[in-house]
Amino acid sequence: MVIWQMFVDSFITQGGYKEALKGLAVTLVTAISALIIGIILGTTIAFILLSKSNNPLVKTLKIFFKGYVAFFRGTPIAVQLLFIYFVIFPAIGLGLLKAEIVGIIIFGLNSGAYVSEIMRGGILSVDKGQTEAGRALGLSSVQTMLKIIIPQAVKNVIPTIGNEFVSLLKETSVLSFIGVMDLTKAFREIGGGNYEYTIPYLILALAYLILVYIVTNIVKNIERRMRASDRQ
Amino acid sequence: MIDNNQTFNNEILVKVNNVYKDFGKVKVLKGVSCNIKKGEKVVIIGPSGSGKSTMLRCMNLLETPTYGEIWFEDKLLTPVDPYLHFDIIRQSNTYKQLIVNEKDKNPDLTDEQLDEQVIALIKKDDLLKKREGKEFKLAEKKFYNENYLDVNLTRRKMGMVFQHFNLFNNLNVLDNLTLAPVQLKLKTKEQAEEKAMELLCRIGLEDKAKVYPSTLSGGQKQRIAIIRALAMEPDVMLFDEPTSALDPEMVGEVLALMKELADDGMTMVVVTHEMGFAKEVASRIIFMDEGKIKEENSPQEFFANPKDERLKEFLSKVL
Amino acid sequence: MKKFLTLLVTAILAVTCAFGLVGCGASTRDLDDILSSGYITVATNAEFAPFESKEGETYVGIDIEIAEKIAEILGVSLRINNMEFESVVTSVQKGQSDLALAALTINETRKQAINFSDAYCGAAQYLIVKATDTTFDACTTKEDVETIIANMTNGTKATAQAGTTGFFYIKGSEAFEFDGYSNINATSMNTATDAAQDVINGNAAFAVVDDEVAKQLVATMSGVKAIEIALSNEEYGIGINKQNLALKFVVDSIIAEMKASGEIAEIIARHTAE
Repeated sequence: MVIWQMFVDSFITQGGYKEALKGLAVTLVTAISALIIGIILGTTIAFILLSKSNNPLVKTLKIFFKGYVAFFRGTPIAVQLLFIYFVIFPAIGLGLLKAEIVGIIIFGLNSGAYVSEIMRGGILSVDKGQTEAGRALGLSSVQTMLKIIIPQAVKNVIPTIGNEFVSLLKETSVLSFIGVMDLTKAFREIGGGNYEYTIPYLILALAYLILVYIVTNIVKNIERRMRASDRQ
Repeated sequence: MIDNNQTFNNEILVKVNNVYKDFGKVKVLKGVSCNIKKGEKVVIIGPSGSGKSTMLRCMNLLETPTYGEIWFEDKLLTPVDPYLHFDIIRQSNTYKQLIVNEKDKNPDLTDEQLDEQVIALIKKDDLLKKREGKEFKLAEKKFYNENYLDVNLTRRKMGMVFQHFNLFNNLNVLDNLTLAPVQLKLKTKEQAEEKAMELLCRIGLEDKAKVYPSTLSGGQKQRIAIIRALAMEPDVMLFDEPTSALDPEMVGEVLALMKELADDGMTMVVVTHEMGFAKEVASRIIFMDEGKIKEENSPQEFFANPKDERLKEFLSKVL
Repeated sequence: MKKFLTLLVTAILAVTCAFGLVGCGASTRDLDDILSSGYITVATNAEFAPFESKEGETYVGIDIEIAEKIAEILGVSLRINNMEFESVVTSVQKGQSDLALAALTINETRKQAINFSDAYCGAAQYLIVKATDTTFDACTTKEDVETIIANMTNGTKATAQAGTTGFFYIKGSEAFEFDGYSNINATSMNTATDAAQDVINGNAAFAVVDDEVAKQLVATMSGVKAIEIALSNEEYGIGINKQNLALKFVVDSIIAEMKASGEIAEIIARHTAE
């Protein structure tokens, strides 16, 4: 098979597999880092958006975060990459940041917006009685939130967070817009070496399928373990 | 059986002063006042929708009164309601204006009578406006600053038991009991755990210390909920229909624990449908209907000689 | 496990399908098809002024005018397929476009995928650097530039448009006969403009772009200048599907005619006049 031979040439003989591994690393590191940033950011935002405090700082933050969430949920990730990397960051003096780092930041900001909605739902889904019991004992709203509500909210939203991670893995495929070589770009370059894209694209698709499969199983495992701890 | 001749220490622990509560357009409480003295076991009964749970929940501010004040041990929990304080009313522009007007209309009234009349007028017709002048505001603020205490601090001394238990699902029983004392730095972890085990032993559930609430029966959950509140060593215990969500065979064990608490001298306010408990344990019974307190009496009088029509009707149906 | 097996079966089916697709060859239009259909399709990447770009809805540029001429002579209308540069060759290879006119450098690897017409234009690679950058100001020869680049700090970033000669110049390629620079981090961007923008932002040390395009970029973007020293020499050709020999014959003769009459030189001159 000629196409197989051409693939071997590009992938193995010319060392394309090294690029593929680098690309895979970029995809994974970006997705994982973005998820972590997203969870921390998203939980904070959810907490502030749900706060009933009259503190002027809190009120200002609420407005700011509402706008932030609207922007990141209302525009495609590709547009966010282009806009922030080529326009915003240079304008505010961050033009020298490495594209890979910028990619992680942008995906992190994007994820934060989505996770904030997930966490908001998760927190609201915890029975009101839990909060009332906590407050009735004299715990402050922050203490109640941190010690009672959020742990339960997290358990509720683990499947959805898992979905968010899978989305991140797939969305990183447009990192090439800002010149970052992710898994997709790596295989495009492997194919582009001899214009034979059939096998590279096939393997690329399979690679994502396998990644998603593995991640979905890990998430199911975590969920199962957290539920088991409830049934001692 | 509580000896009703026992004289109580006159200390008023909880004071509900002319409280109104509106939920949007629905008026749930229409001017209720109630004092809970130390050592009392006050039982509140009434038809659903009468506002009894709401009044109970106002006591520890889980519901915030629309008008009126809540006091706990001489500390104000709600904002100041000027209508309840004549001194403050007297600082208002409205009062000053009305004094002048009334004096003109009735020149031969004494100052005292004038004062009484004007205040009565103001209260009757809700005459105080949003802006009553600097002196008024200052008087309000002064009163507030002198008497207000953060509700988080007062709640430490008020235990509450809920109809649906509300044990913390993400923590095991022991952690449920020790969370608040430890977080609020009232006890060290060791001290809190010691006390918790003591309480668990008292109800015979020490072997459940490390299990999660989801594995417990309703009666077990509620009894643990009760000792969770006790772990904070409160001065008063509020019970919001504690047995209404329990299977009949578990109601007894919970009521027994509550009776034990009563015998130990705990001040209790209980909203319930359990008439037997009311008869046996209450030192005073309150009947509420349509957002108002219709009748209060000692248990004997209450059941033997009900005066309110609605109460008579109610008793005939539940007894 | 069951799910994984399903996955595997799907994959094998996919390969067989793909094999089938490639085996029977793409459905190519030959010259007769083109003439009878009344239109000819040209694959290009209209982000490469002065060769091809868009002004509003209209495509303009040297390659565009050549394409229009070919269509005129054939008596058909012209349809431009605007796509990412990396896809241009594949588009013709798979028969999705009849011709590729995209400042396409002729090289061995591309020749394995498609045929080229005779060369119609020569080109060289220029450096683009930040306007305030004096690193290359003293250079007079190609070797001067190469020495400076070879001595840059390890990991320095340089950009070029994905799939272009410029990119392979930095990265190295057997097909293009470029050694490349192992100390330079060759980064491919979607367009030449993006590659230049990165240089303006200071993120990349330099970009490598075709000469005429470099001059155009410098004229339209502020903050960059071109080092006008030819780093390489190549020729552009029109891409044609290997099975369409008749089309190649016709195109070659058109190109030859346009060269002889000076028309190509005139088109080029007009688009590089600014």
